[in-house]
Amino acid sequence: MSDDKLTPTEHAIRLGDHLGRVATTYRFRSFGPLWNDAANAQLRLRRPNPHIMAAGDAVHVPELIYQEVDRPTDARHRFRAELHPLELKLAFFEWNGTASTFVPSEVRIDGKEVVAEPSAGALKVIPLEPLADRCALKLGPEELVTRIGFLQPIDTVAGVRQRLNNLGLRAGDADDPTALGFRSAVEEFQCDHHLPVDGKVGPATRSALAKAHGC
Amino acid sequence: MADDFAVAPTDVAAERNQIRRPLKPFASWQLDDAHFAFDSSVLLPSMTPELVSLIGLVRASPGAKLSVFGHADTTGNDEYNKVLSGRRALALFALLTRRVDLWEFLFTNPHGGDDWRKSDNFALRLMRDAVEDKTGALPRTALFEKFMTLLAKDASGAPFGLPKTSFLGKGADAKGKADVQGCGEFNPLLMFSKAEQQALSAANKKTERDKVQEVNRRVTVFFFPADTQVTVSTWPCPRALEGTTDCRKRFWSDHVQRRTFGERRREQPTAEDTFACRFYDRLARETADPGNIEATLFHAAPPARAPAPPRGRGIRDPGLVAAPTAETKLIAAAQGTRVEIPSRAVKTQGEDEHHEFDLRPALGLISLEATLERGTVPHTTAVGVDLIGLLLPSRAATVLRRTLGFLIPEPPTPTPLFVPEPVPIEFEDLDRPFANPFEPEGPPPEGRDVANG
Repeated sequence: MSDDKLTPTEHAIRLGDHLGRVATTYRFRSFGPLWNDAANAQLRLRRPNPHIMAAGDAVHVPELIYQEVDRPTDARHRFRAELHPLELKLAFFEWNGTASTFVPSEVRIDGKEVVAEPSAGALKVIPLEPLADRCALKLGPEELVTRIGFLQPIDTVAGVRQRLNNLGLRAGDADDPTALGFRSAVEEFQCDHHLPVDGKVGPATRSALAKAHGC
Repeated sequence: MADDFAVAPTDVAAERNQIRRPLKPFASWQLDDAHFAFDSSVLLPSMTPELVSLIGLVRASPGAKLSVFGHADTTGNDEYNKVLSGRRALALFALLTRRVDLWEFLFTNPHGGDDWRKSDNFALRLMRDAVEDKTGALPRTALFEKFMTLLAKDASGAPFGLPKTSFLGKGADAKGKADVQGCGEFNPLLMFSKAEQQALSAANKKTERDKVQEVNRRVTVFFFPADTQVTVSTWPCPRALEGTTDCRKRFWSDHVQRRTFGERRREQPTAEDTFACRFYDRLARETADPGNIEATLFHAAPPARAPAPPRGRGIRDPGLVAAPTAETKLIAAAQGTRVEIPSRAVKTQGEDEHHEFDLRPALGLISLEATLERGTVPHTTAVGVDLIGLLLPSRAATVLRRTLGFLIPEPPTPTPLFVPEPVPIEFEDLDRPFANPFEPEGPPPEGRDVANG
């Protein structure tokens, strides 16, 4: 295919890239070979979650090895390839912390309607192809849009801001920790989670935020 | 876009992306100090026109949940002011819900200067004058009832009252937690400079000081979407008559600095740091507390009747003052959806105008731009208009927020102002089959063959 990429190579993560998407781009069936490659040992330390990469991270993409298997002619053969399934899990909550009861009337991934696994309570689980980018949930006349793979690591300013926004704390859309809206959201989160309220994102706030958000 | 949620995929059971509904008022309404008797929680008949605009907001947003916040000025001590502002908020809350018993409570339980019985029962005298009870024959509760009827009526003169379920806490707490509260002096719109404070603190400057501080003494009502879920036991604000302990838990980390008189006078909206309570600050910033940014209500299906002109926040359009006879309309367009909104009338400068528009075709869209046209000639372009509250289902009314001074004159142009250009999001890799690339036919061979991976 025209978009085949030559391997081995170094891939620079762009916004929206997670390892599953990178692997698929290079025709790997799963992100495993990339993730487990010795050349990515440093990356694994820095980014413990293969699904959450920061824009600018460098990933080593190992050589794609084609496996040859001999089979007799004039016969039918079935080959099985195991895929590594990914899921989008969204847990919806009301402001007061109770599980949201809404049921989206329609779920679309990149414009195509999909069926979300029926799940009890707030959690919606949506099976994903690794290249899925945009998941839109229709709620009455309104639409809630999620961008898959755009979540940045918790130790980046963007990652903190995105998680605060997901948690309804409205930290704004600028990666400036001194901005009033950002600080307001951080302090409100600290206050809600019984942390010292200083408006600064330290290790305790970071880990509480990652825990509250769920990843 | 700020309204998109950045999420991560996962292959681990425990991981998820929590998405939580924000606490987001969509409109606010304010009652100024002038509508209370001086230094008291007694409401004055002058408030009726203001209340008409509140009723307009309530009627236009079915199911909206209200919460009342009283504010005191920065003179006096925190605890006293907290209760005083709570009593003013309670007085308004009582009027909106027609709770005569709450006025009875305020009457029989004075709080410092806020004594309804002072000056020979001034509150009762004032009310008797207003309801023309010349003989003074009406018993107190009947008088309260009658005075309430006089104050709370809509534009047509019909009496008005709200059930307790119209408030954020739905009356779940007998003392009105989440329904009504006082912020004391913690959230002033105006903070003096150090020099002003010193100059005005002299005893003989009391009248002047009270006059300048007037802007801080107010009662604000926030409108929340109908499906906002609040648990009264975890609502951060203390009840109207409680102390300041719970208020302080929600203070900004730099509250000391915020509450200190500085070198220069600080005033909302240019100064963003006059509120000590972060929780209130966040609510106020959403609706742009009156005096900050205007909130205008847009409503499904414009009513046929001539709209009552609420005197609340509206559209100010200096560009239209010159030729007020031309037809004006506001056009909202977003992603190809075009909504034309006929204007009722062109108002003169300084007068507020209230527009109700059918925005249903545009719902589901994140942002929206508006253009004012005179006839077919584009006259002004509006920028900075955002649909807010879009995440909230089952709400007919949607609010547009606009900033002051957004109207920029623009020369006539023959091209349409909004060229709908749908921007499909395409990813070249999407069409590539991802599933098993090998033909799944026939019986499986012995063993298992694994392609590269």
